[in-house]
Amino acid sequence: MGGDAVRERARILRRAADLIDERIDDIARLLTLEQGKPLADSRKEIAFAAVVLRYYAEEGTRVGGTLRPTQRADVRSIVTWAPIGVVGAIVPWNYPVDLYAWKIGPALAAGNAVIVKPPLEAPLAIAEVVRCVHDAGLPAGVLADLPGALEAGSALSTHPGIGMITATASTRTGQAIMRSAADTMKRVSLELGGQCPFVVLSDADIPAAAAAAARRSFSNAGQICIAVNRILVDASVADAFVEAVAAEARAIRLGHGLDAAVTGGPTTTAAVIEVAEQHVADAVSRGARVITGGERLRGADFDRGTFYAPTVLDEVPVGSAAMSEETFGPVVAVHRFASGSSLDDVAALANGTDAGLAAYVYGDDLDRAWALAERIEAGGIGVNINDVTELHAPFGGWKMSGFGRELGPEGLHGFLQQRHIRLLRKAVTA
Amino acid sequence: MIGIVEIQQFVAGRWGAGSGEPFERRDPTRPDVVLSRGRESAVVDAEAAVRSARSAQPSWAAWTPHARAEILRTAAAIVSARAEEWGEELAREEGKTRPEGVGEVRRAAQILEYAAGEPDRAAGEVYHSPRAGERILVSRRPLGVVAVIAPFNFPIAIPAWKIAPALVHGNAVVFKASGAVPVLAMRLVEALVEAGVPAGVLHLLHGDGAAAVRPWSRSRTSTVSASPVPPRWAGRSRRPGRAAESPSRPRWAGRTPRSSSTMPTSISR
Repeated sequence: MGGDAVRERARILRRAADLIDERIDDIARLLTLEQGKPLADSRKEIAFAAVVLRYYAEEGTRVGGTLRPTQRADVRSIVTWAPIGVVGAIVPWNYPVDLYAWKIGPALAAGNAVIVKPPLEAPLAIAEVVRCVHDAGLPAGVLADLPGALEAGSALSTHPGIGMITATASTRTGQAIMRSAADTMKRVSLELGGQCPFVVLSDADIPAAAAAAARRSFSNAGQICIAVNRILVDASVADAFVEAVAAEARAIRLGHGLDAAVTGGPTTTAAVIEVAEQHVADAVSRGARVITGGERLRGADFDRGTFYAPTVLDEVPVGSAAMSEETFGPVVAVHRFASGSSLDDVAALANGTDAGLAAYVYGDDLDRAWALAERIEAGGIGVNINDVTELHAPFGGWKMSGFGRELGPEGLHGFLQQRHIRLLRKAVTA
Repeated sequence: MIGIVEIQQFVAGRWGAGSGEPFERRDPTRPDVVLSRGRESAVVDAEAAVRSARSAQPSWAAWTPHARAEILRTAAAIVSARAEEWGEELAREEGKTRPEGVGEVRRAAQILEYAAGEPDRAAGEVYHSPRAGERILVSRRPLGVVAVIAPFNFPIAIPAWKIAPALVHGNAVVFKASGAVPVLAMRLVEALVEAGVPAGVLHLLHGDGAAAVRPWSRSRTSTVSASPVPPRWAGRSRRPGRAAESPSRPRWAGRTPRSSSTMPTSISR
């Protein structure tokens, strides 16, 4: 890989990031219109996409290699990185612009060509980002945008000319991609569904934990792979905690995302509400109590849209759908564990699903919170913080939440393959 | 090599015969000479191995990495001490020349030794955070149970470079040896067991039958490390009916990088 090419790619990515910043108002408006989230959240998402492109512009210039020790004095062992070739990327509708940038930023910086299938539900904001990258001077053919549905995605995962598929999707879709990618031995990187526990220990800062849990449960209408799906709370603090989360939920003002006073939008699709309703009904049938929400919003402003009230369920038993399946909607299930439970017991509760994307632990005794974090089976664990997304650190799943990592240096190396050159030197007489 | 080697599987800390079909392996140079015989492992054996591995792995992962490495170092010494003897067995079983056989066994010892050095390498990374009061730590955790599928062409070196890194990072291993070279697979496992790998942490299955696909089709196995040789290349396969499958793809998965036997965890703050 020539140094000039690396620098030129970095220049294009930086320029694309600048153009995204310049055009953020227009892109954010489109994102809110098609996806539903409040305008402020759209702006935040798009601004982070630009940050990610800049980060990978720099990271791409740092792809080096290593000279390894050898077992013979006359042998040189040189390990370098090469691009995969053509990468197919499948982007979901919940954070289309961010997740688009997480994929094309490192894939392009690594020297690949990329064909992206944006989500059918939200292709427009991405199209504007494509325009930014194009206007930044990316050569024709290096980045393709293929708005489509199942047929387009399937064509990518089976095409022999594509060397790798990276996808953020449901676990079921990820399994289908992995199966079809096997025929052509594609590399796969899959960020799939989560079912993220939020553990509140007895010494947690209750107001802070409640605000953090509510934000991660109801932001983007709960349509986040790292959304809090279930809260595991020490029974001794549960009453105060549940009341505080419910108060946060009730304070969310739902409406059209373009309205500046709105703090929560509709669900992006009607199907999200169907799952939310199933999970609520299932929990209630098993003895759970609806503390707030639990129904669609009615009235002139809401009837035409897909609005579901932010919902807090209390005393939800283990085994309920809301405790084991990904809801991907504005519903959070609270389960009280006996005060004085051992960390191992709490960890077993937290680990009791097939998912392993993210988890959260709140507690003021940092040693205890940390010890619990180290028992949790997940790719990312937030300790006294409700987001595991970090520009510099790997993001991705354990267990059925997939494999492969995005962000950080790992996010770049996933789009590269290693080449080892082993070279024998002949003796040279001086 | 004197006499015929009786092939045994190693499941849940016990050597014994597999529950599957009987098989025998002959010297590829002199097909009238039987080198080894035994029974293939069956699905029930694979299930028992995975179950045992699942239950043993957490306490193995709780050992210090240095204590696990010490076992690999001891195993390296055992393998190295028997390089002449096992190298000859390898040459007879696989068809390599004797110096190549001895050299490969020595290479396996080096690989065990190399993996034993891993605990002294970096355990993770720390990053600055743009926010005051935060730091970002990335550490690694074992995958759990690793299924190892090995080819016949390097009967001890390839299994060693899959098993050693998996073990040192705290994984349990279910190793399905190539049906063509069961003796050297047994030798490697013998060395590791003699060195002190606890019961349940390492299992050896034999054969190319149903048990071969079982460990990695089970959801309870966390990862598969495989270097299968395409059937047409496996000229001495006992199952010629499979030779028609994917003959045009002589791809070979190659060396497992050390990081692939662990999964990174990010703890924010």
